[in-house]
Amino acid sequence: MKHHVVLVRSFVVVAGVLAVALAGCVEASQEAVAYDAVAVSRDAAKDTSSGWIVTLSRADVALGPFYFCAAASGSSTLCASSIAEVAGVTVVNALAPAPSPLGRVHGFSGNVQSVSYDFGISWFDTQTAATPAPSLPGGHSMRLEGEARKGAMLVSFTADVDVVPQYQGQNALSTASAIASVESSATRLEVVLHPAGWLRQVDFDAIAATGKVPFAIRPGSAEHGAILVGIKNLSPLEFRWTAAAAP
Amino acid sequence: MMNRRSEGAALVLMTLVSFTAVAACGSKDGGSSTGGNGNVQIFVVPEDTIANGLQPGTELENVQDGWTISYSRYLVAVGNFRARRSDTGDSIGDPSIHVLDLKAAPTSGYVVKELTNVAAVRWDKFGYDIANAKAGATPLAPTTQADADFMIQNGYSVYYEGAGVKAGKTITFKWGFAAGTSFDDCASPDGVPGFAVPAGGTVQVKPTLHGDHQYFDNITQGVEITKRLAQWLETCDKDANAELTIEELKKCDVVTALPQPPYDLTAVKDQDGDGKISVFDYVNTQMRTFGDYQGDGECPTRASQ
Repeated sequence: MKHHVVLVRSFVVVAGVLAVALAGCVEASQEAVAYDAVAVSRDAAKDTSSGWIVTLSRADVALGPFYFCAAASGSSTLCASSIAEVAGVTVVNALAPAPSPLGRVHGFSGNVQSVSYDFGISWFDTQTAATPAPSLPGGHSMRLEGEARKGAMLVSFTADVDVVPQYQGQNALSTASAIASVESSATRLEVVLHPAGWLRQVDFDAIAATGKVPFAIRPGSAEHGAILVGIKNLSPLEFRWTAAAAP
Repeated sequence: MMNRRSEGAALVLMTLVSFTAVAACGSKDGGSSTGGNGNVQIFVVPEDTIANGLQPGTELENVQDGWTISYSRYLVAVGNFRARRSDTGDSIGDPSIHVLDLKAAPTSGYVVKELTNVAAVRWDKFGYDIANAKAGATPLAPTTQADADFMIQNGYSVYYEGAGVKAGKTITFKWGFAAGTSFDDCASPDGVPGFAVPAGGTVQVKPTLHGDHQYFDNITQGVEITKRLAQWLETCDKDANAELTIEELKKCDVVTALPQPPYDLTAVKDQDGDGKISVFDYVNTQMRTFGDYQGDGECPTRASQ
């Protein structure tokens, strides 16, 4: 009986020591989180490009899916599994003054450092080619319409834009910075767009010289390539996490 | 009912389990700790593409659109080698910056630093800088003091001279970039982070500098899933004098020189701040990615300086 008591006491002591020691190396658990994502347009309709003032009258944009990564690079080769994601594709009016819902972010609490995403055209490992989501405007990532003005010159244009992943298994935007520390579901993700900025690299002087009204920008053209530069490099999406408003 | 002998055995067993568990917890080096000390020899190794150029062809490492690329001079400013243990926070390193002539590198590369009497464990965080050269950067033979002075005076992190040749047409180039970048979290090609020092032995650590990123069709992240293309050399030579200058690169629109597809320009930055993305911005951005590790291993955490 006495030996049994000693054993029990010893067990408790050893277990206590073990618990304290292990507590130092067990990383804090991550909490499953889910919160809203919205698209927010900023100075959406106007921008300038080489002296041209660009004004958009229409910007229907497919956004998603989004994959958020704890690593500094969101590339599929460096971020095999995301910490959070917006799995769906949503077409938004990027000129709308009010935030547009993008669905729910599902994932885990913790630090986010990067994101990779598509504009409605994805090329998953299971697909043999890049594939548009069924909901895309006219089958394209986006439809832009507007005009550009420089002095007495006026150019009106339409643009059907496809933002396509370069290789199978990658996203169209393979990595971008997105910094956050998400602690709970009381969070909101804002995806900030500045669509008029996507036309900054477009050569409107060349478009004006064609005399075509309206000038139609289609995939494969130089102007389409210039819009991709705007989307990926000159006016990329920004990602902001804020505390969710109280219900 | 448990007898005294079995009680004692159980106690010993519990204690052993406890020590084993705690020991495993404390060791984040994957059990590679060997005790004792060893040495670290840091080499800077140029990729074969710097010494022997790139060949046209259809193989993975070939230039796919028929161009042959060769370099006659290739200078870099590299150093600030650093290593850290995640488990203890201990760190070792050397802040020196060296100017190296990679075209004239010794066969096995430059031995830039030897660290002795280092704990024989895994140092899982390794990084280094390709730095904008400043006063104090020193050449290692056969690199000359004139090479170092040239890099310092211009503040270059990398400078190279060479040529592209296709179908009898030759385009020469002499380009320097102040594209200082830190490269961290380096891992071997099979993904093992940092390096392990053997007790009583020496580990060779090899930052490897690549000479083909200028010709990639994207800004690679991690594994190099890319094709090599060089037609932009001719596209950007607007005056058709067969010498492609930095000024021509700055005036060369990526829309025509690097069309998407086949290119993907994600992560290319407006490095010269002119509000447009030019081929200069593309090459400059690539000059912030060419630091690799142990051959084709990656240093995925990069930051411009």
